[in-house]
Amino acid sequence: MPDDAAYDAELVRRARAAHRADDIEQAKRLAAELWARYEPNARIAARRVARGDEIEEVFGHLQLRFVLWVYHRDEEPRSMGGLIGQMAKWAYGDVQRTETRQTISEEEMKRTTYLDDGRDRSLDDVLTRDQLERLLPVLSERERLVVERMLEDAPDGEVAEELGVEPNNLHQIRWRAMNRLRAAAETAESGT
Amino acid sequence: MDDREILLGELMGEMLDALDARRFEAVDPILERAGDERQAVLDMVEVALTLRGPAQPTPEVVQAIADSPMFDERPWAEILGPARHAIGLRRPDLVGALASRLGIADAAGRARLGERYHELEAGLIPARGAAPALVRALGDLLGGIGETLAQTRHNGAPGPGPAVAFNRTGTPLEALADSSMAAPEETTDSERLVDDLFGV
Repeated sequence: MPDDAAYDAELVRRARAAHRADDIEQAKRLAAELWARYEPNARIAARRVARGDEIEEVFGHLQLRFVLWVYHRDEEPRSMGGLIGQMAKWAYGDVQRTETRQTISEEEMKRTTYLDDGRDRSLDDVLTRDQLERLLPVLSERERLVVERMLEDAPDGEVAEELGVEPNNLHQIRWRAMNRLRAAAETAESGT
Repeated sequence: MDDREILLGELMGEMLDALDARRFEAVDPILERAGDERQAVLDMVEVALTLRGPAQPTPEVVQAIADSPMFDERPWAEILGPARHAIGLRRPDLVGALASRLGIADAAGRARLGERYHELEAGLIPARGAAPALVRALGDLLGGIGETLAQTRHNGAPGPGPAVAFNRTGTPLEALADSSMAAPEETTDSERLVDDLFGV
């Protein structure tokens, strides 16, 4: 996909237009495609804010917030990954409120302003693919190869053989590479 | 060799494989193996997902999600009655089974349960206040629609359903109240329990 952000924005525009035109089946398919693109991120985001039995509750609220946002808001997504992270935090709040019998209404959910533009940001909300790709030079040649092969979904056995290392070594190199990348991203974010 | 890094790198790889294959049920067991490093693994998987860009779902996956309860916009008032009728369950029988499931033993509690369920099915009280125990019990008793109920409980109610008698004359409701009506009796513990379950 050449430009993920533009593709996401187009899906959102078309889903909203279909929903407004009462073409519910088309609206559902478009919104479902957008969700499917980021469902892995949502699964992780729910686990970053909740544990145990609360995870499924938070995930359910996140799904609800996603649907309401797609159908009922006007703004375009700047970063779907960041938006999903923000929604997960709000969804966790929804669950806490439900447990204290202060259930949030659908209208309140629709009015929520999500900060996916970098304001009030934590690293997880603002890391974009472009930013991360620009940081790849901080990796050693071997680490960069491991990350690139990971992005290509190459099997571990194949990559280990290419590098002439044991699978255990590959796991270690991959972990160190991602750690280094994340640390570089944090440094870049803080401007230090 | 650093055993910790080996384990975490392995878990990260396994997690990405599970997410790619949409084997979401595998995620938590993988995380459990991370122990105290749970957050670190989540951080790294998040970085990896960002680097890789969004998933590229097949049309079949998209359609399955579109057809899932996530995109069901019906309010409970349009779900409960049809679900009950579809399995041929009379309302008193459902209320009796609910009472047993929820541990409502006395007559006052069961009567309150019948009233509240009627109000819920008629769209007179919002579903969003329904306690998880009630959602689960209704889901099981109405033919395994728990996920649908959980996903739709915030959907807006359409207003009172057809089972409600309307005040067609427009007379203020206060004027219709029977002033000789005795003061309501004190609420029993089981009635309070029922009200809590329905978020009333």
